[in-house]
Amino acid sequence: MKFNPLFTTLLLFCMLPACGQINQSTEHLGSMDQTSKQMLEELKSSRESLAIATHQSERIADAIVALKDLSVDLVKVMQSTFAKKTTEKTDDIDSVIAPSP
Amino acid sequence: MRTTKKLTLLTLLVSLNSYATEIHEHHCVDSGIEKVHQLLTRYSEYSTMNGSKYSVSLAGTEVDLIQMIKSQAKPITSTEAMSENLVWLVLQPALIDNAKLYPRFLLDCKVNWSARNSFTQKCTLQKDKQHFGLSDLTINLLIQTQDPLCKAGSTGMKMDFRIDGNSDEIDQIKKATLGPAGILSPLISTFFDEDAFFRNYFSHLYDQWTKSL
Repeated sequence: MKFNPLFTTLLLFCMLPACGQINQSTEHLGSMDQTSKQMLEELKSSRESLAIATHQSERIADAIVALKDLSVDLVKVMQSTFAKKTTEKTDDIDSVIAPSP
Repeated sequence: MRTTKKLTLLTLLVSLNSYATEIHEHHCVDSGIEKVHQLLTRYSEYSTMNGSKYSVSLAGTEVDLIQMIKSQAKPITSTEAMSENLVWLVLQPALIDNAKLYPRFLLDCKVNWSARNSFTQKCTLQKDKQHFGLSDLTINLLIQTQDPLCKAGSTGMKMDFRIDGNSDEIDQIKKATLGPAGILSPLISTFFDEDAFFRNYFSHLYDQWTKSL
């Protein structure tokens, strides 16, 4: 097979821009890989944060339930405490205005 | 110089066991002046009237903090233009059974209705008679029709109170109340803060009276 130098030159000349594009694409792929790795890390971190937040919200929900129970108890204590009312006898006006002996 | 020191010491001692608070209020009511006069001079009915009980809402529950349990009157003079009555009032704070700790005081209440469209009521605490919780109390009311602050046809009520609470005695009431209150004591202790004890009560009492008119 015989290469035509002119044809070969033309072919190489035409391939040069394609080589540049391949290089750019390779760099772009490398950059995308880096970005996806970062996103993966962020995703892992988000999952951990979500797990912590879920745990905390469960604890808050428990605390709200406990607080509700406590307020019910508090009202019961309040009602029973303030229900016990006895009034002692007090002086009448006649004895108050009477001159001291 | 020595006199100044003595005066300072005296002022300090007086301020240690008493405080003074003033209330200045003005209300307009739709009732006529005669009805206001009736309400204010039914001294024996004070303890059964609206406002005799001072309640606060704690955790959605109404708690009675103090209540007037006795109101008795002795007329001294009564003419068309003026009247004078001795008025004996006893209050019972929540959770206190011991009658020695009930705030109580004898007032001399004079009503002067010499003017056609207005009358005054002045009540002063009788310091030489039995009293507890208060060292002094003065109530000055001016009731008038054609009050420039009220609309035509309504009656104006100008109220000025000077209340001298006895800190030592109020402290005794506070301790006796907060003891049985247990875990509720932080909630109700604010009622005893500074001059709040009588100021809140009297302010509430007259507010309820004007609402009933």
